[in-house]
Amino acid sequence: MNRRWPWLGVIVGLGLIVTAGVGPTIGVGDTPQVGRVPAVQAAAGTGPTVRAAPRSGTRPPTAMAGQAPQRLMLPSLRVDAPITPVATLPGGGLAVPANPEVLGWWQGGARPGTGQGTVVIDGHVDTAADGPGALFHLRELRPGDPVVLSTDHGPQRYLIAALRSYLKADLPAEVFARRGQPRLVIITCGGAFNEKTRQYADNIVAYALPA
Amino acid sequence: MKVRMAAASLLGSMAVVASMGFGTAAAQPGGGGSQLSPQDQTFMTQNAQTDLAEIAAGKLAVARATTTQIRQTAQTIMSDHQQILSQLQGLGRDLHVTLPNSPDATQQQQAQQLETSSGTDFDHAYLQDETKGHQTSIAQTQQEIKSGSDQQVVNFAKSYLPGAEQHLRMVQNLSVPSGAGTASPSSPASPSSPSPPSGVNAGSGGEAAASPEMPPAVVAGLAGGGVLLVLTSGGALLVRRRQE
Repeated sequence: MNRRWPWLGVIVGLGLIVTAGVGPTIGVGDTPQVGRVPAVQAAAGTGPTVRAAPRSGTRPPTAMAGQAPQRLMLPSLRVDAPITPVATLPGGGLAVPANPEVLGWWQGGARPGTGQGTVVIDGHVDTAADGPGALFHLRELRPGDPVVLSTDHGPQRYLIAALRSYLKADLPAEVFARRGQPRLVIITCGGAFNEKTRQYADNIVAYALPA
Repeated sequence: MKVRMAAASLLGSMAVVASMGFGTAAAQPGGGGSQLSPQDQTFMTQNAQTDLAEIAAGKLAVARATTTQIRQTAQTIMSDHQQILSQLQGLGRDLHVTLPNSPDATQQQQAQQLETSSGTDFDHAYLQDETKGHQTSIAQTQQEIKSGSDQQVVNFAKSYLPGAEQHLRMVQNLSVPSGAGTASPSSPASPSSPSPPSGVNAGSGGEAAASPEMPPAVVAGLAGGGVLLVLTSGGALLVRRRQE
């Protein structure tokens, strides 16, 4: 043992140094700030081209400009969840379906397929009653991951562009832009959790652009 | 002479009758020389009247409903029906069908009742009208899909149906705040741009909480202790090797 303790001491010492260096960067619920948030206004010469309406006589069977989304699929997370319309609550926050397996679509925002504005989807990360929700692993998305919104007129496909975490009070208003570049945002909660109020401190926002 | 006069009279009568028929058809909705079946014409008339009624009711609701949710829903439904009406009018032009320019009598009566309502009474009346109106419209659309003849009209009906069903679900998900009276809206809504939400409360379980950051003192202690241990142990190793 007397002959071994110096080696043990070196190994343990190196372990302590590594822990001190890596520890502060590790967090079970931490959300990496990755990717580049797509701007509301696309740069000149970029962005999707809005197709001209077809001539009379070849009118497409689209009675409504855009369709309400029915389901959200995140293949990289194995998520396939139904969507129901939600509105703004009297206090100003966005309503979220009580069932954590059901996602909400802000009906005051853009519709998929209209070619403009931000489609807003939200959902519980978890609830005290039911545990993890459909968006529990949202923070694990990375740029390039596929997203599919199903509508009655077919699927609308997107690719993740960025992931951000904001304090709820600092959630940018432009996340809910009704005009401008077509985007999709998926919002849930994360960050520090207050055991007394049973609320998270942050909103986790995944941004996506049409594929 | 008498034969010529009789023939001229007959031809003249036929011309008069023919012009009356065409004139009548052109004046009435669904007519205008269209070759559509009665089912197709009826559906187009009904849909146009529904669109006009929804647009009028939506304008009232955006201005008078007591909750932001009802106002936003009304704005969405109104905008959708403006779009639908525009497309239906285009279809009418293509098919030479004259569409009505006002809702039917029942819809007009409902609109008059809405005009005289306010507060939560208005909310109740609007949601009730929207529920019944969309249920009726859905039934009419399903009938067209089942029995319509013109493919363009049937296709229009097929594309309209999911949206109408969505509207019905949206309306059924709404609730009227408790309490009667003429409460005024807490915040006036802009028909063209509803205020963005201020945040999302989407979690109460705590399972996704971020782990607390390691305090700086702990980091310093670990690092210092590690360095000290390495130096001490390393020094002992060197001494032993020299002794050997």
